[in-house]
Amino acid sequence: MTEQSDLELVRQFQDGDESAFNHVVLRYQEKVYWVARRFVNDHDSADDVTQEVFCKAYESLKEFRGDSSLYTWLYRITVNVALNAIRKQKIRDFFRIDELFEAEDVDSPPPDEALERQEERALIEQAIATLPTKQKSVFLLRYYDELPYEEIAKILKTSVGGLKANYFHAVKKIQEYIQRVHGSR
Amino acid sequence: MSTDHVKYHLPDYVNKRLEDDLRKGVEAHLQECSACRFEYEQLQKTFALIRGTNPIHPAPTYFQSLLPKIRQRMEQRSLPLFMAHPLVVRVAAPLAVAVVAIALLLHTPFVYRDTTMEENPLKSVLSDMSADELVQVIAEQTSHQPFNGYFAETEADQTPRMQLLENESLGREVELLHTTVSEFVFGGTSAQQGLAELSEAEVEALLQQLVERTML
Repeated sequence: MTEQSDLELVRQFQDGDESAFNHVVLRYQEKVYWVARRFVNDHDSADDVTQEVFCKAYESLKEFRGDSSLYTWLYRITVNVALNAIRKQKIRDFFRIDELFEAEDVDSPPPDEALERQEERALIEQAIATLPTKQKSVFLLRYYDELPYEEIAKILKTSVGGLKANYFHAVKKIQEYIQRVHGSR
Repeated sequence: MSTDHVKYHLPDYVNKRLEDDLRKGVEAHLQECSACRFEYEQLQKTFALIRGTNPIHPAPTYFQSLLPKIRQRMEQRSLPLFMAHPLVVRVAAPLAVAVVAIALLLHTPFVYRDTTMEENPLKSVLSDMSADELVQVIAEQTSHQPFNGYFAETEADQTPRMQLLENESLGREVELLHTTVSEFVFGGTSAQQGLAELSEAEVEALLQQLVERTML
């Protein structure tokens, strides 16, 4: 039995078949989660973003006309929801409200993980977090999701020209951030 | 190929994602240009570091449980708007229950005398709230009761909220939070809006406001 195409699932959902939406979730939940995770860096935030993405997708899927592929459409929602989550976190961090109550650490590393590996991961995540929004988006979608520039342009609703420059400058900024941190140690 | 033209292809060249014709052009250029060779070597080191770091994966059962959670969230969204508001579901409803329970308990003298701050159900409810929910509740609550009512003159004047605020450390934090939220963020006009309900444009405006405040 051949797997149904994205378009077929969308048509079935638009015809009233709720289970078609479940198939969409199962097909794309991991992709959406990892896009979100690389933007927001911790599991709980990524989980929240992922759920929000599919809720928004459910609300909008009836109007989906197939102008882009389904995964491009989902990616676009994911990037927007993730960036919004980052902005709201910046506001929370401004008040350092979480220091009023003890907060459990999220993503606490397993006890047997090498400290050096943990520090390197944290360093890369911090470097990516400091990137300007567009450069961050281009870097994450190009490097981790290996999307073609044409797809990235559709997701970010921008032109292809200049995306390579965004990508280059993003990597350079990550490189400089790492050198600066290592240089100060 | 010029240096300026080549450098933007280098990240994809390092990761072997360049089309054949471009790849050959970059390779030819690298043989002649030491500056671009240096740039290439630096990018190799950076990408090697990035490749070597992998995020911690979620629990193995996470993706199996994701769809039911999404469905549950969608069901909550289908409730009447005010019923689905996080403040109602997670804060106002349990807070209202706690206040009623305490009000009833206060009419029983020996229970009232035995109530300690550690057993205060209001404190328990508030300590279960997330930080942003607490900000919102306090902003709404304290806008109606000025802090000059902080110290009651008689025990009869002590409302459960004031009993809570007499816990010194919590009271200080609440006061600081009230000041910060009222003066620097909500300005008394948008105190009713939870952070979660702000639109993207409003979030951006708020962020800009905060950036300006920190520069003063």
